[in-house]
Amino acid sequence: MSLAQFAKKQSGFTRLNITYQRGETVLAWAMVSPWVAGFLLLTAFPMVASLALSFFEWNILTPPEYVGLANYHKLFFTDPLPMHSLKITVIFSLASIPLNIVFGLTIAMLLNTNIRGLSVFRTIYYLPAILSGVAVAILWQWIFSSDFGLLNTALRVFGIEGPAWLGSKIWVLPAFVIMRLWSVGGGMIIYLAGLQAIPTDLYEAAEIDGANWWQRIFRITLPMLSPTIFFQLITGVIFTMQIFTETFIMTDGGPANASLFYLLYLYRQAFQNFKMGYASALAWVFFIAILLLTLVLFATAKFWVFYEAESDEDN
Amino acid sequence: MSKKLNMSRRDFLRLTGMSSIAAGVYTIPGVGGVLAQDEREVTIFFWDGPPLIGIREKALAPFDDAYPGCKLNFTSVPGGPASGYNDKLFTSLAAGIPPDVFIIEIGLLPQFLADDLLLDLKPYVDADDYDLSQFPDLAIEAYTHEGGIYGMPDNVASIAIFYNADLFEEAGAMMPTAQWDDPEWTVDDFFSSCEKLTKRDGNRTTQYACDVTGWDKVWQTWVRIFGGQLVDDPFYPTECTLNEAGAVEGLQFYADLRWEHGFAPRPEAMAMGTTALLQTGQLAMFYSGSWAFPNFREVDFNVALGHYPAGPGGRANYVYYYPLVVPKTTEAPECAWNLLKFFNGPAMETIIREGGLQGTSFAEQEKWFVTDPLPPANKHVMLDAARHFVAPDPVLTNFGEITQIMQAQIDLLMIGEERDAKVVCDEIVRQVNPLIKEGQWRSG
Repeated sequence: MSLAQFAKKQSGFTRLNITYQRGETVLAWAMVSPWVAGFLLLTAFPMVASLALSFFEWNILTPPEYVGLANYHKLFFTDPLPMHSLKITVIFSLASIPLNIVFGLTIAMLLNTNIRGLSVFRTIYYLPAILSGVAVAILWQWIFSSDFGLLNTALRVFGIEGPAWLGSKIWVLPAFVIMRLWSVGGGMIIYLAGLQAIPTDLYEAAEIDGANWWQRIFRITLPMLSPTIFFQLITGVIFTMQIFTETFIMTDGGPANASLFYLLYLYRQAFQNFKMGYASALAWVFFIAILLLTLVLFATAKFWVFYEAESDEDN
Repeated sequence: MSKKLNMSRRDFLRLTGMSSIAAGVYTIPGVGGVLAQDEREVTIFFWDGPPLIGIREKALAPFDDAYPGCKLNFTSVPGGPASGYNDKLFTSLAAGIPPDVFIIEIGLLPQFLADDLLLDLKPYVDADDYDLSQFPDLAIEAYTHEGGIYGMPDNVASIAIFYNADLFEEAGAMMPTAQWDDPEWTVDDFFSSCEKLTKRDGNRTTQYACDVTGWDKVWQTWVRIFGGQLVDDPFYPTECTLNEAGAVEGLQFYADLRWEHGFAPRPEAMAMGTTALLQTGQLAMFYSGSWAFPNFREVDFNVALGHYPAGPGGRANYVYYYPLVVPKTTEAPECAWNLLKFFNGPAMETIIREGGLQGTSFAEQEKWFVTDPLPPANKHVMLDAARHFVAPDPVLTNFGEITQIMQAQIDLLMIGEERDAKVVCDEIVRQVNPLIKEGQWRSG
């Protein structure tokens, strides 16, 4: 074969190869196009539109009117309720997220042992996590009823007169925290998967070295589980800060705005007062607040989250 | 002998394509109506949920036959304004394809009027010499703006006192009157009845006399009973007057029924609902509307309706009066008007009888509320209340937002966090007055 013939044959292969690759690329894009189109139309476009809307006053019925930074000025300087609702949301999150992590992890550890009826217990604990938010809210409304509710009736057995859970400014937030604890089953499943991924030889080696139960927990279990806890923390922050259904159904922000969480206030502005521009500004401020919080948590991760791959590299 | 039609594949495709295009064009909003000159589609939006679901649709079904040339398209988004109805309505308005007739909350009417979105029904009323006196005057007045009429009632729903007559009899307490102009049944009589009806076992109350609720329409009625008002002029409000003597006294009296005298259960005790408390004999009276009638069909005690007591401001009440409106852009104004007439005419009997609503016209209400033998007794109280309805919501574009502000402060009084009504009222006035300026949209 002459050099010229060889070169011609090679270029034919290359051309074929390029055509094949291009065809694959086109096919790949065709396959993902419904999701890309969905993302662009249903997520990206509304986000950009809401950012633009936050500089307008718009009641849906008439064309939007440009107001510059007026919505943001109102949010930060003249309307006291956004900061009030943000404060309530943060207080609730600070109480709810750690408790959910601790309870979820504790239950997962208990259910990671060899006891009879393990799968039944796991199912029972996981069950509340799959129930609809509205149904759960209505159920807890009854549980929290002070005269006839299950919770106060149970407390009365011990001689304790329970508080007016949903009718008190003081107790309404603890009530929501307790209610959220009921659905730790979702997190428990993830912790359980994390616990089962920890190699048993680590525990065996620790036992041989004379480590007690606490040492095994703090030196092996928690460090090995730290990526899972970190994941739960991040998703927990995002999920908990967005609390809405419970307060919308159970208290409508009351009493006296004591459970007026941020998203409920945003919802009121958008869909009850039809102030779409102001609601968009509220949404963007909230988005940025959660984003910053998430970034801060990511920044702290290097101090307490241990990835197996990293430690291998270190070694 | 049949003849086989021969058609080439190309002709077949052409025919199919043209038919598809024609069908597509026909479905473009408005085009179908233009092409089908003899039949106008008229779309109506409701928010009916159980038990009303299907009832209004059934009542309106004969509309097509009653008005040849109009074809009804009934759409319902169950669950009320907060459960998707407003989303659907406002989306259709933003898209420029609103229904031809739709229900809105009364608080939204000023914004719709301020934005000039609604069709004036006055020419149709005049042309048909339509009798508006069959509806509560104040409702029609609330739908009126600069001489035009921009709505017809969807339903008028009074609030009355429901009471367990057996408990009253047993306690020897005066029962709420069923006659509006009765000189008896004053605030003092109400208080005296509450004293007799409340039963205690040590520190525990076993039977409550009355209900104290954060329901805005109820506390507002107590404000009026004592001669107070929410604003200086409901049709042209300029300032909140809730911190004036009558209003403060009314609110204080109302809150004290719970916190000072213990006649009413605390809010958390009512999680099971006041209806359940009344049904189980733990509560002697509470406030509700005709929608609660079915709850008392099969109770083993005598339940009846009565009016609020009369106070320094006379007797008062509240009546819901949400309007059905027609957008200015409708392509079927005649059919829309015919539908409103049909709704308030032949359809109303079915709506009241089967839907459990109070209805709109007094004549239809009388047929049902005076003659129906089922409990509760004294159902004509609802009709009386509608006839004497005197307190419309302030006509502001942002009254919904103002209500939220008021409610948060009133909550403090209702939950006992603040016991002085004057403090609460002063704070309401401070917060609400700037919003009133913001919500003004017409001058008197």
